[in-house]
Amino acid sequence: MSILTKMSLLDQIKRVMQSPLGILSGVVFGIFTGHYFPEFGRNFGNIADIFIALMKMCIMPILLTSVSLSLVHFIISKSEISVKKVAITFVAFVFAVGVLGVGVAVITNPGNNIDTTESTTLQNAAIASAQESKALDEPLETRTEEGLAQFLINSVPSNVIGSITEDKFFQVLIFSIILGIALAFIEPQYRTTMSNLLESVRETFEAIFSVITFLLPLAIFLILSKDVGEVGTETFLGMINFILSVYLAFAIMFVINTAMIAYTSRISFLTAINYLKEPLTIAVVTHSGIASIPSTINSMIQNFKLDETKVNLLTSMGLVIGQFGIIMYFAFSTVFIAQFYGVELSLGSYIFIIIMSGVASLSAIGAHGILILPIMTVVILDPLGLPSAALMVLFIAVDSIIDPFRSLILVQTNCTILALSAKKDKLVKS
Amino acid sequence: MFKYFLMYAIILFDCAYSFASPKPVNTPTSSIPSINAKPVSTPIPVLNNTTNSNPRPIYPPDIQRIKDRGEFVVCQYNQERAPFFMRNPKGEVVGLDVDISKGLAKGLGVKLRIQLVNSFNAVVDGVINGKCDAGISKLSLTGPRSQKVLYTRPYVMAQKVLLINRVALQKYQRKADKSLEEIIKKDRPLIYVEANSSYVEFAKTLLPEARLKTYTSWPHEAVPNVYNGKVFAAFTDEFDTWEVLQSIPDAPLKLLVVTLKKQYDPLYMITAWDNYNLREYMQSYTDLQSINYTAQTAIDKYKSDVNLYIEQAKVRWQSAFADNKK
Repeated sequence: MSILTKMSLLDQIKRVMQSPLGILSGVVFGIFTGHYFPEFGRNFGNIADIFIALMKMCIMPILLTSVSLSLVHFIISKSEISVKKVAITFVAFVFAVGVLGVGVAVITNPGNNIDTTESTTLQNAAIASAQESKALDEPLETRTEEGLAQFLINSVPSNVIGSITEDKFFQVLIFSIILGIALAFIEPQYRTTMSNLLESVRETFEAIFSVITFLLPLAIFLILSKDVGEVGTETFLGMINFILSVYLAFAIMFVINTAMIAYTSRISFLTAINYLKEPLTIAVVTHSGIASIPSTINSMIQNFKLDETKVNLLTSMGLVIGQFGIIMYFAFSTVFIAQFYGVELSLGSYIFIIIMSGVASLSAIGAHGILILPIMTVVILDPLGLPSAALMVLFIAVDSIIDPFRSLILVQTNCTILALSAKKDKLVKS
Repeated sequence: MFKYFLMYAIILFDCAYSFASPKPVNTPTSSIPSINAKPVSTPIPVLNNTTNSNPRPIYPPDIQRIKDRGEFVVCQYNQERAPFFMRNPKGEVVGLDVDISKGLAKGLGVKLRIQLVNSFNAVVDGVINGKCDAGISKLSLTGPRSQKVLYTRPYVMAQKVLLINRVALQKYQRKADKSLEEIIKKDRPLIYVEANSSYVEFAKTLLPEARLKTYTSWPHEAVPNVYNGKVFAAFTDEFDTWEVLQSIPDAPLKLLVVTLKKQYDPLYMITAWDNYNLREYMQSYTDLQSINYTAQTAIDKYKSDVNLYIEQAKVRWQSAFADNKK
């Protein structure tokens, strides 16, 4: 029995596991088990944490090496990177998702139809948050000033190892860019060693990652069986209009993205979804766009046949910086809050919301889940004079079913930008 | 040599003398009476002086008056205040104040009559002009009132609160985090207090710089206007705001209840200034029954009644808001 047949057997299993059917069955069985046998999810669901931890283990090395290596490559080969085009596409998408978020909120008007009394849990949480004990001379709210300026100051890492251990992705990204540029300009004999080292690191971790994704359906099954078992549907009833409207906004963006990818790559709508099934699934189950960097790079190169260097650079940067799901959520939620409190928004306010959602999303880099909410308060809601404390309680309560789709939109929109901006370059290269 | 011997001898002698006969310590001998001294003879009160031609009545006049009348009359505010006095679905008035009144009447062996009046101050007036024996009606202590009537010890220890409109608050907080004191001083927003209530007095002392506005109806005037942001806040007690949070669906999201630290609003029973013995009786009743609540424990104690009350209150609040819109 040669190693070759072993590999082919492994390949076959891998193909089955990574087929749409494999992932889909993981989803279906996971939801089924979580709903009917919540005990199972509670007892065995935590095994999935091993999977997520293994995946996260690979992210930092891959992010660091892919950005710096691809930068070196670009500068040395003097290849034309249409920075302008990428930047314009990127900014256009920031606006587009902001406008879509605001638009869906304005049309569906979810803020006028919120009845938290539908859910006892939610109503009790709201009542608890409406009671404070303060002395007359005590400040009513104590907020942290984590504005954009502070974020930019903090973006340069003083200690890169510290940034890596603390999962500060934006700092690592900045470091990788500096490293890549510096590496391109040193003497070739010194550069080769370092480049080779980085190359080896990347290859190794990509290999590890591909083995992990091999187990993706199993992980999906475990994670969903745990999550579905823990979710109390009663909680969501009180915010059902909000949830459905956000889902509508995400769904519209999903369709737009898929259509654009399909059109530019000249593939069918379903193929466009199928090509991205792995990174999108990882984004949903891990609630993280950054966690799907390796898988996205892989899909864009393998399935869409895009330029490797470009994909490496743009995917890593895009998935860290371009938090489109969050931009859309911020824009939507701000309009929702204004509707709820009956605050009239002028055209200027709407433009402010769209721009500041983009700005706030930068501050939210590296923060995920409910940790992004205070950023929205400071950057968007406070300047608009919208009270946030009360509704935050509700947002936190339902975030577990919003967060996965924010990540989904994040990854997919970045793939769209990649498909759009790398398309012509591919022709130039060939 | 002999000289030294003589000196030693003198010193030794002197020491020996002082050991043998210590100087008497300066003790007062005359001022403190000796234990064995004879007790001073004081007249022993005669406990049951049957020979007296004019025997002392068993009950003091203020208690006897009630017993003679066969009725204990309590003044109470005519608006519902959960959990003190509220109507149950059968139309009966129930609650903490009602139970205490019943218990007091039962102890006196007389019937209870509750006299409803139009305001909290009217309860005090009723006691002063003899319309009723006692005021048991969620009453607070104020300086002017305490000059006119007798107060028991507090039976509920509530706290003073501000019911604030969140949007209005955010307007004042936009630039910096302010305290309530700063907002009241600098921005001078309108603050509601109930007309003819203790809160008018409280506001004068606690919020001297506030722009005050009085309201006559909590559900029809104060709450809707604070809810809509026409008035910044209402200064009241924990029970009023608790009801608002429980019965208006989105009140917890639109309003904020700030309980003022260390600003207590103890609640007392009152009686006329010459009813000393009635006051003692009312006080001993709460002591014996261990009636000593906080806002929350009082609400918890009457949970089932309060829940029924809240269900009705929800409907009432809806119509109150509808009226206010008109």
